[in-house]
Amino acid sequence: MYRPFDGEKAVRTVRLKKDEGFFKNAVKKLGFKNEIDLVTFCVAIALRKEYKDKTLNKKLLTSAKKLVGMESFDKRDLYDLIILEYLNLREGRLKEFETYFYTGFNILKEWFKENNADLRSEIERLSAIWDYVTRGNGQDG
Amino acid sequence: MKFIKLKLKNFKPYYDKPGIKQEINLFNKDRKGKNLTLNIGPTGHGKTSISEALLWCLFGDYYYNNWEEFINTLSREIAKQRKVNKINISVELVLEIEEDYYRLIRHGIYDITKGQKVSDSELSVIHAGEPISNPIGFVGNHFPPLELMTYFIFDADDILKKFEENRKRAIKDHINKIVGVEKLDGMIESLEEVVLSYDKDIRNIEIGIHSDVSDKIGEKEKDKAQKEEAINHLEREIQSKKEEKQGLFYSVSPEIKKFSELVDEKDKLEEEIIKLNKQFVESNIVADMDLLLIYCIVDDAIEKLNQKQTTKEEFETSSIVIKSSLGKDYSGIFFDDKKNTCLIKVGARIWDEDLDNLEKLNLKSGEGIKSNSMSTFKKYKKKISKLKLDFEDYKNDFDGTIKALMMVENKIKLIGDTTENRELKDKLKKYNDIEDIIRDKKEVQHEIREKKKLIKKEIEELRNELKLNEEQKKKIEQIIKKQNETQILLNIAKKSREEFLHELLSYINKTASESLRSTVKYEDKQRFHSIEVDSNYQFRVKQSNGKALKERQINLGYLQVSMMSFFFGLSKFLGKKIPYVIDDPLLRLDPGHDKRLIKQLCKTSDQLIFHMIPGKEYTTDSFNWLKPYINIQNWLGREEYKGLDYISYAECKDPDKKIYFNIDKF
Repeated sequence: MYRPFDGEKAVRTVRLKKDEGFFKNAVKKLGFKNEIDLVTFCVAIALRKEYKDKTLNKKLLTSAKKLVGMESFDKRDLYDLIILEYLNLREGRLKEFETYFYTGFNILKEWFKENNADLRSEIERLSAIWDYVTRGNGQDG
Repeated sequence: MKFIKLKLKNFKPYYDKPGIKQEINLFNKDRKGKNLTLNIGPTGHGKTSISEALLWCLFGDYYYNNWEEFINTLSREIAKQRKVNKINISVELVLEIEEDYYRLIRHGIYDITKGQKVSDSELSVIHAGEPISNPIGFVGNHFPPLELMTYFIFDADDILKKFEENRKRAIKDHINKIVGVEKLDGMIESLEEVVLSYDKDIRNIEIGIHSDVSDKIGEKEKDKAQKEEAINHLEREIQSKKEEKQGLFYSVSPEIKKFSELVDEKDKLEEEIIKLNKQFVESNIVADMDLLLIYCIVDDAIEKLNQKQTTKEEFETSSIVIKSSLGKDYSGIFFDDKKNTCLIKVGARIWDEDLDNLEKLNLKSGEGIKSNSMSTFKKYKKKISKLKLDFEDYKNDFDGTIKALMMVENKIKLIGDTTENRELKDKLKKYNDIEDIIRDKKEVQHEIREKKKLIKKEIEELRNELKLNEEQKKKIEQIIKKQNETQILLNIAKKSREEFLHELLSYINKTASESLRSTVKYEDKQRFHSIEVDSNYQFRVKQSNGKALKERQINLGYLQVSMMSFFFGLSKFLGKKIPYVIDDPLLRLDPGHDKRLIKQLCKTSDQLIFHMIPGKEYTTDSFNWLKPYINIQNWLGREEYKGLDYISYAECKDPDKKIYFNIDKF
């Protein structure tokens, strides 16, 4: 029987200290209750950027640590499907998922560097990121 | 319900002297359709004493424990002279409830030699010649609790004065009284303490283990409690600074008043943003922001495929997305004869010449991964459609509020930069300083909160390391169960507080608005459309287009009418059909406005008893417009008794004629 992200045990996240600090901070500043929500948010940012701007400077997640077990990843069926269909892949799906995550993560990081200081609330930040990703033409890291 | 008659014995100025019948008629059932009783008397003639007598009769010692102070001074003097030890004081009220008559008698005995009450006052209720068994229960069934009687027996002058002094405070106090928010706050506070006390109980079990880990937990708990205290302390300081900020611009200067409105507007918008953000963070949108972005891709893909001249590359990307997201609207995609891509709507007819092209679609479904894909996307699509609408609502609200806030902030800055008014400049400087202090304190508070969260997490981790035996584990489990149950109660209390408040405000805003609309003059109805009190106790008068009027756009008379409409809305909310007894009803109200408000009240109430000052409130003019509603008119007179003191008495007058009095005598 087919299972999403078949054969993969866990979703991973950044491990490097500078990335880890930003990751935790971003979870708080954007109001996510679970860290996995930031991971999928980053994946979606990268997918959206790629679809809109055609060019995406993809970044490979080289240093990673376990975040949650695959069984606890509620949206696994959807993201498995997106990666599979979108990239027309048969295997190596988690690696691609992680690449989109890390690419989106870096887009977010750049955005925070330039915009975070003036914004005061979660809704304000997410609303501004939304505008940036869906309408803006900025560089994607 | 109607108050028919009041008999007073040695109550305040109503001395029980033979020859003076201390009876005050309050309603004449032969004058149907007229429900207004006027008790007219100058200051000191016993008007307020009637209201006090009614409340004492109904609520006794609960209303006023030192009721011996109500005992008439003449009766004390004369009792001493006659060497009588005990004085009787009583108030008897005859009531009519749905054509049944009841006599409520409150009686007290005071021992003059001992200088103390013989006992608490007693109430008896007589119905059809027989005393009823539970007189206190009778009062409880037919009247609201004492603290809510304020909405039926009150001094209009005092009420309006309080509104004018500090409107927000007055509104808050009234709402608290009715909804019991303060009581709920007290309950919430107690429950929070209980929840914390369970933590201590768990700690006590852990202390018994005497290990390094246990000691560490102890230290962390101590640290956590200190952080909690620091957060609460900062909260109190922030509140106090906010109050200081609010009071800064109370001034008679029109320029400062105008500026004060801008500052209020700014505070209001900031509060709205905080509220909006809180709701947003608590909603499930944040966790699914990724799905909204995915939805955006699907949306764009469908749009692109609907456009002509789609490139091959675009087609390929889009078709992949489309293939996966085809829901109930589309059954497929195809190239037309000009090699444009088209979506096939469900049920659409395909022309024969296009049929060949359909082969190029390569839309395989029905097995393996592809069939899963379809159901997966359908599942998410439904969820996302709702989320998208919710997010757009939040975003529009938020963008609009931020825009409005920026405009107000710019206006404030502009006035600050250009004003020559020294007082305003000073106040503005203070205002900015307080804003900075509040911001700093909030930042510190936020940092402490984050640290507290970390400590909490560390404590949890340490607890996992602690080696507990089975019995200890079981005990802790039981405590945690109790703690969770208390937490549920706490959440219910918090939710109830919000819901009660919401229910009351919706009702009041509706009834007070109706009252305002029927009170204001025809040509002003467009301007004064409704009244709104929000959950921050802010009061606004709104126009037909829904926009709030600025304070300077409403004159004092209309403001008073709006306040009284709000106040009467509160009594209506209580749902008790009992008479209104109002001291000084016209003293503060603007002439003209009072007429419309009172006339409306006469039309909508069962019985009204007004205590009015001759000359000031009771005049030829007011009598003429009150006349159609008058049931009974009493003149409250007084006479001197043997040079010792005055005795008050009520004299029933012709209700159709204005009472003559010589104003120079008072």
